[in-house]
Amino acid sequence: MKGRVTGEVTGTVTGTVPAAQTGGVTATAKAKGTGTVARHPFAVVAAVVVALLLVVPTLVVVPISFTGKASFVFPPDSWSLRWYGNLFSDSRWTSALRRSLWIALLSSVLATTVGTAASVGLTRWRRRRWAAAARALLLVPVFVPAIVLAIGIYTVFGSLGLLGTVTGFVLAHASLGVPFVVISVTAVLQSFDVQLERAAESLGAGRWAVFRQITLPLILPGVLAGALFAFVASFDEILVSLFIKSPFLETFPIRVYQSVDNDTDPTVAAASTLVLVVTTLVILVAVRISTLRTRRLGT
Amino acid sequence: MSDAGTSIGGARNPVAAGGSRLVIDGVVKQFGGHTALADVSLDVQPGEFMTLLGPSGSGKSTTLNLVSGFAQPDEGTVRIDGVDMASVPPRRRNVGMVFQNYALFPHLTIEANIAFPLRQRRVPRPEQARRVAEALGTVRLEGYGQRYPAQLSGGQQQRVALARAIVFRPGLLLMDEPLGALDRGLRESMQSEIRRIHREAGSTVLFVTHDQEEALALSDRIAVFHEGRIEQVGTGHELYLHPASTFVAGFLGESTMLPAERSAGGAWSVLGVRVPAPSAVPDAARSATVVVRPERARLRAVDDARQDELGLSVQVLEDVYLGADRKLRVRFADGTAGVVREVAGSMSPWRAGDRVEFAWRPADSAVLPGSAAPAVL
Ligand SMILES: Nc1ncnc2c1ncn2[C@@H]1O[C@H](COP(=O)(O)OP(=O)(O)OP(=O)(O)O)[C@@H](O)[C@H]1O
Ligand SMILES: [Mg+2]
Repeated sequence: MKGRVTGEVTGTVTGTVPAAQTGGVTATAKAKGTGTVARHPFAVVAAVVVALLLVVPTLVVVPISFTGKASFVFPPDSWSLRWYGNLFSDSRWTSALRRSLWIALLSSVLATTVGTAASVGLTRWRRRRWAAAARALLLVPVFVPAIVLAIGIYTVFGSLGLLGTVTGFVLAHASLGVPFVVISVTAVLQSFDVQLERAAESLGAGRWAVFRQITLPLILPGVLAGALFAFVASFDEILVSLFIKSPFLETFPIRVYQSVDNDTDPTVAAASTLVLVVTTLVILVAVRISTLRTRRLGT
Repeated sequence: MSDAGTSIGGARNPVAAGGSRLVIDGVVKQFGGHTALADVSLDVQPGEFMTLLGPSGSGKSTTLNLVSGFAQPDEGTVRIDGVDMASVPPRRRNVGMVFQNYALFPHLTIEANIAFPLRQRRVPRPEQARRVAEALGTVRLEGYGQRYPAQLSGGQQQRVALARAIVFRPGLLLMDEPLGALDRGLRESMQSEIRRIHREAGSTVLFVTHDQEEALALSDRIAVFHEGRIEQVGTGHELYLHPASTFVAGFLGESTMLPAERSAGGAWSVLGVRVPAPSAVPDAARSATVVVRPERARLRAVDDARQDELGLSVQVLEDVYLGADRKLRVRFADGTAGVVREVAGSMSPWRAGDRVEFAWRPADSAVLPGSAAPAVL
């Protein structure tokens, strides 16, 4: 279970951001297929196989969440919504869900603010090589194995007294969300005409006015998409969360994880399906926003 | 009725502003090891239309950027109305700028684009609306206020950029090849629009182009740039008739440039024909260049020599009939290329292949120090 959940997190990292840029395709392998290897028949077959491999195990959970029996038998032979009833009436689940949404919201706002400021700042940096290095540094959470990050965060937060606090979760998750914002905002900045900022400045706008009135509105689609990716990165985060949780402060994915060990009924399947639905919806919206941008600026 | 009449007659100039005086003094600008501007000085009078003309890479845009404040000079000063701009950021210079690619804000309507500088200056809303409407009228775009830039043609976008740059009544208006992206017909109509707006607004204009016709059509004075220096500043007429260097002569209008040499005895000659000693050439000089404008030269039969003319034998290479005039390209004995223009009504009978004489009156030519890069055919 642990492997599956983290697998999904990294799946989001490599899959959805390129998908957002190639426009409108959400399935990981498919996005890669259309993006780089033109429409070679073999590439298409390979893409479909990889897509099935990635998607099918995930989708097995969905039918099980609707089973009529208190077992994980697949395929189910009777159907019901009782596990969803369970999920939304059990305060252990609902409070974990509320907490996860709250942490995801806060960390997304933080990651978006920091990530956007950094991306915009880095494009202004005259020394290109240093800017590239700094940008790479912001992407570290994507490259470094999650377990290494988790241990690092655990150690640092331990000495700062942040373990088991909402602040700790928000900070940790925000740092994981920053790369998504940086990637997405840097992508829109690529097609942003810096001449517009000069024009605004020559017309009397100060730095903040230029950012508020010109830069931000024009890169907003990238900012929003980044914010949504950062939201998802927090909402389905498990590994780091396991290290910094306390018995009194658990997120929804942690609850799922522990429920697999402790509980024996398919409520956990309903919970997983919920995570899947929320994540997919948010990413669909993010992708939609990215394609809106291209249409409005007519590029 | 009579009311309307008086209000039109007494209409206040919508964008009137006194022009600023711009003084660029001994400016040097380097990029890495490359000298983009080497000691440029220019004094632009209030209300003057000054054009920076020169080939690509000669430093025109760099000069404009120093004035707008997006670059700082390494040496020298830029003063607007007597104030040293060294520590004044672009937004406080009150300089209107029109960019080559227009730089309209794509997410704002035309109205909001034009109101942008007023909004930054916290002009009250009703006043903003009034001035935006006036500016739209000035560039003849009434009724387009609610559109977005992407919904306008290139020429219309150009006018919006112009309206946005003049709506806050800057004393100085900078334009960097504003017509570069337009087709020929549109360029010409925009040129007359720009002339009219300059006249109405009264602001000082610094205009960049590498199109000599455009420079001649628009400017009070032209500064000719060459490799980071100003070769000459003057009215189009002065530059055309009295170029200070072979570069200016070659860049502004067509001309025939002939090599002149001084013999040991002190006599000057062009391709073996004696010519009067030029006055504009240092005494010690051994070579010079004679510049003859195409309409100042004529092609004559070999036996048709006149007292006041100098003549050199040439072969006609090409004759191009252009309607109101005709252009003949010729080649001198040493291979130097020449050009002659004849207007309708006084066209000679010569055709490509004819051997004739290229003749001009010394008073109609300019003699410049140094030798030009020979235009050899
Ligand atoms: N930011 C810069 N960094 C390095 N070199 C520059 C920079 N800006 C201009 N230069 C160099 O300075 C010289 C003058 O450039 P400038 O842009 O002023 O030319 P220009 O006269 O405007 O030419 P064009 O007609 O092509 O626009 C060029 O050789 C150019 O390569
Ligand atoms: Mg230029």
